[in-house]
Amino acid sequence: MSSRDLGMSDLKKAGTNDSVGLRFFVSAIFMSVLLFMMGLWGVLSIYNATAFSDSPLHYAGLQTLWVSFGFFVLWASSSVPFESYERAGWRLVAFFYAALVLVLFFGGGVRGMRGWYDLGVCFVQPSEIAKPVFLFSLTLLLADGKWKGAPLSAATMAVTALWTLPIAAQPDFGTLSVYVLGFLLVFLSAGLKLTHLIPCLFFGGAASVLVFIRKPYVLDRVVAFLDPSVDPAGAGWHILQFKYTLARGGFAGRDWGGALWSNAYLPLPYSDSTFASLTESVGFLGALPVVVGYCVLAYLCYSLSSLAKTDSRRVFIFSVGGLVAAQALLHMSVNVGLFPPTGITLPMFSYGGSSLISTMFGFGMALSAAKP
Amino acid sequence: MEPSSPSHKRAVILLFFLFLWAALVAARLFYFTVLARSDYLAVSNRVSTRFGVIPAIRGRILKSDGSPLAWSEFRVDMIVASVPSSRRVREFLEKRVREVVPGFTFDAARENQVVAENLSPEEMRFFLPLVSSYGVLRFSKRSVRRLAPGADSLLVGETVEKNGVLVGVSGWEKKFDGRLRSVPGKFRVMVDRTGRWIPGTWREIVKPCDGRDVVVSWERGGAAR
Repeated sequence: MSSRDLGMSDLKKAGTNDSVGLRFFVSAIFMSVLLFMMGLWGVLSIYNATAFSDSPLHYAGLQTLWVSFGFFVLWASSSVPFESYERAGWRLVAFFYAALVLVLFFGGGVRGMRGWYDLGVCFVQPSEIAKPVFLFSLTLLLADGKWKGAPLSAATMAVTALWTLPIAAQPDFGTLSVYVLGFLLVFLSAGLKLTHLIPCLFFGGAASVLVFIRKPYVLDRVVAFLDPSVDPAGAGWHILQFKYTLARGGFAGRDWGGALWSNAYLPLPYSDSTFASLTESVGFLGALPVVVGYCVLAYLCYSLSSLAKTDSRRVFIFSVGGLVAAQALLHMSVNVGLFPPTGITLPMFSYGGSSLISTMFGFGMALSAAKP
Repeated sequence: MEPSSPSHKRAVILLFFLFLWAALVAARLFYFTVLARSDYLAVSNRVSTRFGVIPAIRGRILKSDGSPLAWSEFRVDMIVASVPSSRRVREFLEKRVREVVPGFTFDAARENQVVAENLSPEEMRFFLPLVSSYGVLRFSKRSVRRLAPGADSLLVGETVEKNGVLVGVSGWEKKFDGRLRSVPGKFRVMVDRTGRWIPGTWREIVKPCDGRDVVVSWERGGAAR
């Protein structure tokens, strides 16, 4: 090989590295801008949903602080080399898992669910913050290299079961369904065999029946979802209010601060019903970009995943974006009547520091994993 | 990652399904905000809108020197807007009301049963927590006709309340009823799920029209100007 060939090869490599670096830079900037706009939109949305309360700036003000802190978390977590996360590996996973288990014993109960630590100044929900670490734990199995084929599939299922058991014990079936979605994203994007999922279907079916028996309110929600008029003042109430709230928004919406129905009738307009509340103010025209925004986030992560050095990092990056988009779509599906109420928040929009920090932490780790 | 690798194809398929899901959400959103909007809006307006009467004052009957012979005053009562159908709820509410109004009992046969009448502003403030907490109780305004001391009640006449409006049935009240009678207005307001008025949603639909004063002269045999 002549020196000229080596030179050309080096140039090509340098050119490729430059284009990879540029792609990463552009994607990272685009992602940060999109997250910033979503965070800002979320603060306005929360203000709007509480405009008629005694202190309309209370939740919006707190959310502003969380968004600011969230960007610090995004920067900090993306600055940590991904090799450090991989070196910390199962110790990092164990720390977050321990927090998830201990909340059952030392956590506070809110709305019948023992899933928050009361730190005095704020509540922290470990099941939210641990989401990116859960995805990371599944991809650690891929990175290991020891597991392949059916044992790998079984290992991912076992790890998922370990994570979801304490969540089911809280009980928080909404967050549990998000974890299941995360498992499916990792499982499928890792290229594992679809037939290995068959045992999951049986287990999932049996678990669902058990849940319906042990927690009748879950079945009530499903029945009310199928026909809200069965119990319009009870389990069907929330579903009917979603529809009325969306209708009041119309095509172009009402003004900010004019979300009368969200303030007067819609339960939890700043958390579980954020999308419907937002639609009342901005209409179809203003809500559609929110739907598109999550699709763009998922695509950005897909694009970033192609820059990853290893398969496990690729799966991790894609799953982070996919899970945020899936959770958002699940929340929106509930709000537009495609799914029974589950208590899922809309990432970046719903009030809550834990959800926001989790989202930023996840994207930060994803950016770290994609860095050339 | 090789673009043609199975896992890459899986990622593309997953992304496609996410986009499809988003399209479904967008379509459903369009349905509620545009296509079926008017139906749901009609139901929600029915649930949340309340109409009410804006009272208007009946005109005064004045003597030729301008001093009043008969005039209207408003009184506020606490009434039962609707009797609860559930016996358990009725008994609970009766017990609650008896804490402030001893001896109270629901009477389903009586429409708009008065719980406490002629309330002063202080009494209204006292009963406000009860009225705010239980939608079956309501403050109700009514007009009463007052006569000046020494006025001939047969000459001045009497009024009765019909559909919230004082109507003259005898004497001058009847003779000049056309001028004296007021026309109440109408308002529309939005209420929240507890039945409370939502601030900023009160709208006057029909302007109230107060009755005109009538000046009577005995020297002219009860003629008016």
